[in-house]
Amino acid sequence: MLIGTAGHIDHGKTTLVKALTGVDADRLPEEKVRGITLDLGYAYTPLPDGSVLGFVDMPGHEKLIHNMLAGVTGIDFVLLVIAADDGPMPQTREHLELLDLLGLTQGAIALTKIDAVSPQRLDEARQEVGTLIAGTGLAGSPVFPLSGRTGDGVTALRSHLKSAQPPAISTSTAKLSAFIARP
Amino acid sequence: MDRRTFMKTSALTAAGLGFGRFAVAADNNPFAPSPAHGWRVFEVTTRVEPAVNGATQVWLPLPSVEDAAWIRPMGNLWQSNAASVQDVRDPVYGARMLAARWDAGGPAPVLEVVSRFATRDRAIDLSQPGMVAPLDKATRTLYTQATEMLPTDGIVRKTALEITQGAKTDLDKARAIYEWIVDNTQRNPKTRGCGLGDIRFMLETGDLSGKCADLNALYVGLARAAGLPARDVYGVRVADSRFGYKSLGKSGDISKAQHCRAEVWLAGFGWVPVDPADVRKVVLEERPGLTLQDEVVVAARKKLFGAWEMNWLAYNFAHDLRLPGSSGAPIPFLMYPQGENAAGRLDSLDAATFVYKLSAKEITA
Repeated sequence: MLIGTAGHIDHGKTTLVKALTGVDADRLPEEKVRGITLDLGYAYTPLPDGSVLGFVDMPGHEKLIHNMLAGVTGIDFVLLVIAADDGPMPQTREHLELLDLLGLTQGAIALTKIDAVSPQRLDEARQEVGTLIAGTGLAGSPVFPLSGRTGDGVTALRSHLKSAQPPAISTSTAKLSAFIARP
Repeated sequence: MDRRTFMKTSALTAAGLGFGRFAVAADNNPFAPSPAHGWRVFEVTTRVEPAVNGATQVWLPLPSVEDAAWIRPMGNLWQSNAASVQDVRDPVYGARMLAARWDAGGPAPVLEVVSRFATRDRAIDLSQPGMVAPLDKATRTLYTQATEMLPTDGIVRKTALEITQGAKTDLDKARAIYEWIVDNTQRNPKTRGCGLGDIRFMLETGDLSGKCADLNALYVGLARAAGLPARDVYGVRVADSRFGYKSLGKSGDISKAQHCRAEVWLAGFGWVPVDPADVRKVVLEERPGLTLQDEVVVAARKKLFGAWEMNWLAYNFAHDLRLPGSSGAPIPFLMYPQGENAAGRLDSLDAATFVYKLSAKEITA
């Protein structure tokens, strides 16, 4: 399954993807050799059943053409990364808007950097995320509080990703009402 | 600098800079694809803008080949003013395509797809068989059976048996067919597109000239007729050759850079990459007046049985596809953009008239 990652640049996406893919790579040195760097926008981890979880950067707004319908195929699942300390930032909203325009609905939210915030702030951040995704294609998606740095909560997200099923092929019919109004 | 540091630095430098035309690889072969060169990521943009002529449909191949050892698709972003756009998968071979439809009286059709993929060179050491899981029965059947353009009986079988006579192992047979293709075919610069791949016609007429879809299809057909699972891999070149072979690469505008290769299944090795058609391309195009005896040809010939430089995108393995929603005939393979409108099937081999453009760039860190 291919997972597209999105979110604000400083919200711990790279650390999280390393945490999600690093364990298996350490266990299997030859797999580590096979892996390619995050710098090129791809990382993956093999699963016991022989399949893989692959992580790629979502394409950005700069690729979009004025007044065209748009969609994504071949990316099965979206992981929106939001840091618990900052909460949603303008770039988070921009990425979410893009995911919505692309018709992506199967995903999860990684609420990162929980080791850097108080329990009270974590609760606030959860509420901010709930408000953020309400009314978008990702409304109701599960939220995983975690720390890519300490590893807390990463296992729960990895288990969820392993059990998520890729959507059936041929689902990307254009949303006819969705016109992109960016220059 | 101690010796260990020096060795490490040398290795990094070699991997980082790639190999120029005159660089010498470990076995002194200037054409040296190797997974050790590392992974690369490419982005291929396909843009089609057919002329307005009634209801219009377009089908574009998407990267569909996935193998942890050498290629991983990274998703596709499409944009269009079509009435509908769908990602469709061929049920037999798993070839994915983007199918777009415009109604009559709508806007001038536009469809653009940006596909990303990661890849690295393949090089199988054919002197070192390993533990490879056997090919499952269904896959073996699929890739040894005849297709519309690849009969495995009659003159094809007769030729395959002649070529492989005396070959003891499957590896010997696979190699014998490779050498026979290189020795007996020619690349024909006048062949349209990549050729049709009508191998019975080629053998019956004795005209063994053509392009990759002819010469590599001949390899696949003869291998299947000899009992070896084999398949065409349809794709497009995306970068210049890092080994200095200007005939074996294309970067930037790749609208006419479609190229198909072949694989043969060998126990102990798995799918082995081959490309006899590219040996004939080196002979014809690398520089004027080359023969099979020239060193630049010999070097490529040695490697292209067992290795591929991955400056190329593999789309799919599919034969005899029905384009979903089309009333027209099945197509022998899906390597070029396909389309139809009120005038019928568009000429997929004529990018300028169709109209389509493919471009490629490498994503670097």
